[in-house]
Amino acid sequence: MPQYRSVLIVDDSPTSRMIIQRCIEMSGFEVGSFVFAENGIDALALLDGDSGIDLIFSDINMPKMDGQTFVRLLKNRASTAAIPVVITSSIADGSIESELNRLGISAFIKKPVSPEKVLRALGGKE
Amino acid sequence: MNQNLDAERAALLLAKAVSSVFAEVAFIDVEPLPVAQSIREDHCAAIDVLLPLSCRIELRIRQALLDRIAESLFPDMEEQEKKRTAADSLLEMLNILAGIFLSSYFGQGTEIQLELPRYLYFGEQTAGQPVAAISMDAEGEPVSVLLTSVRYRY
Repeated sequence: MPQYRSVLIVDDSPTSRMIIQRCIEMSGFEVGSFVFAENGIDALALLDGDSGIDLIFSDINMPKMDGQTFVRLLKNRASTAAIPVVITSSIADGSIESELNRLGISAFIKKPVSPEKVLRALGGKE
Repeated sequence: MNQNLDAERAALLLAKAVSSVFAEVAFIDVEPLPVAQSIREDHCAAIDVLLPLSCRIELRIRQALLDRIAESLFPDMEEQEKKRTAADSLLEMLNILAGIFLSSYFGQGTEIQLELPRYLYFGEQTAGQPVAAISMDAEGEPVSVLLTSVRYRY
């Protein structure tokens, strides 16, 4: 099972952030630390410099900066372009999903998030 | 998209979405009641849908059920923080509920735009024309859901 040094969870809902963290832990991945952001702007600030973040979970529908804009900016920065991104969203909109796939996300999870969905998204064994 | 909602189908899919969200997020069983009942709710969360058509979904519950949701989600959390987080939990559950309902009604992949969920307070009226109202039982606590069609004026 892969290990992650630091996982960033970007979601404006504290409930959602906690559920995602719990699901990652329950799915058996070893994670050094979790960091959290409420929107894309705060997330990008956390990714400045050597953040050590090597996996990102991000919602789409957030205030200030949505998930699509966040992923677009993230993938345009040399220092963050290679970090795998898993999108979590309550809506599975075909056009948004296509756009995010084109930008290079690793997986798309439709909420509610579960340990099984996390395993599938990260390529672990169920 | 200018489309009318089929009340019967909407009610059926809304009830399924509510049951699914409460079971998967908060581990609470919710069953539809045969007859719609009005409840004196403590909390009314609402989410406005902009696409594929304009409508609003309202989720009404009592404090006792919100406390159960919080206890189920955050059993180890300190009481004050648990209360603060519980308010967010209902909004997040409504957000997920809306996604499940809209995907099942209009089909996977349909373009969907949602406003951020929020609470409706005292004088704020229900917007639009009622399409479907369902009453459900969450292990002894009432849940009511109202779907209205809304024509926005910009």
